[in-house]
Amino acid sequence: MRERQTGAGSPQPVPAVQHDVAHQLRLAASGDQVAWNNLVDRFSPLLWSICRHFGLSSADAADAFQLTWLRLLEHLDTIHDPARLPGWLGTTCRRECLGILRRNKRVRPTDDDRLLDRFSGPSSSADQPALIADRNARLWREFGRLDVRCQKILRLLLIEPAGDRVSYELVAAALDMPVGSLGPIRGRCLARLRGLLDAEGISDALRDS
Amino acid sequence: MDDEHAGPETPAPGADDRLLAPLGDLIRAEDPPPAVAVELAKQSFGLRQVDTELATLVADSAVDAVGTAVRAGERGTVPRLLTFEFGGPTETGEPEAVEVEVSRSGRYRRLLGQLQPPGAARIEVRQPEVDAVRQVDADDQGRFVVEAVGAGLMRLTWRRPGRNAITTAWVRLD
Repeated sequence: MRERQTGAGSPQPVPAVQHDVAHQLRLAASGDQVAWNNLVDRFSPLLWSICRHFGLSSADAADAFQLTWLRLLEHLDTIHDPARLPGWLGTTCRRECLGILRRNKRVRPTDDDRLLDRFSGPSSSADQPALIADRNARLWREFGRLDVRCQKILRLLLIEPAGDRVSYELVAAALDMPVGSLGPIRGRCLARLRGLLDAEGISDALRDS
Repeated sequence: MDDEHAGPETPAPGADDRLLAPLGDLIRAEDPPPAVAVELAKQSFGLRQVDTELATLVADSAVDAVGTAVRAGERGTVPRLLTFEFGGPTETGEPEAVEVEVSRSGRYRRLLGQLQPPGAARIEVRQPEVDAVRQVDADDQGRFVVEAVGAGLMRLTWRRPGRNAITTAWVRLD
């Protein structure tokens, strides 16, 4: 369905994925449960990762995640420009996460374990063929050697396989950063990762598969 | 993939893909959204109320005006005061509001409410994880009590005879 853009001089089209989000939003606002489900499926991995990015425990992340969706439900009729939905979701999720963090600080002391459980390393993938599993284990190990800032931002920017504009806008709003800064940061962090992989001779393994 | 649109920060076409595909898979597999949370988000569509006005949270004793946490008292012993307001337009011209005092009672929360302007109303309590809508009545002074509300997300709706129903923004009772 999605047409490949080739001519450099062609007018800027609305990306198919963005168009689809707008369509689903309109349908959901008119009461379409399936369209709502599609939006939830589309944005849940990113929103969940943002909650975790802020260091929320599973229980707190679940509340911030849920609140973000309930806020959207409250505002389905008032988001007049569907193109702004990703930014709106990112901003709302950020606000709910920070709100819960503020309340936690007041109610109980900082719990560093919550942050640690996020960076405890890779989970093993039992059902993968040995060669790929080995390659992935090495890739993941080197990923874990990146500085935490790079790890955290790559976790958000690589969630979406295509890394499209919609997800970048959402992440930029959630982190309160200019959307144009994300590409260069991603590039630098990936370059560092490639450097680590080269130094360990792992790049060849990636190339062979 | 838009190879033709590779920007200056993008390295040699294709080289990234061999890294990005497996790394993306690992990242997605590491900490996906819990299925139960996604399911709850989908089911919450049934909580949408299109026939009501939205009252926003305008004051929360747990958080001061600039949004910083108020210093803790004895843990959990000081009731939290929430104020929700719908600025209008209303039938009477007066803003509609509800003040709710939230106190702990064991593992549950107790809500003590006051409608403004005062008056009788039917109060509804909704929570995403509770299927049934709970209902209590506010007396002719606009006062109401809801006992044994579970911690978590919650919203109130009030219906006065002959007026539009008003519902509060979702709030988290912790």
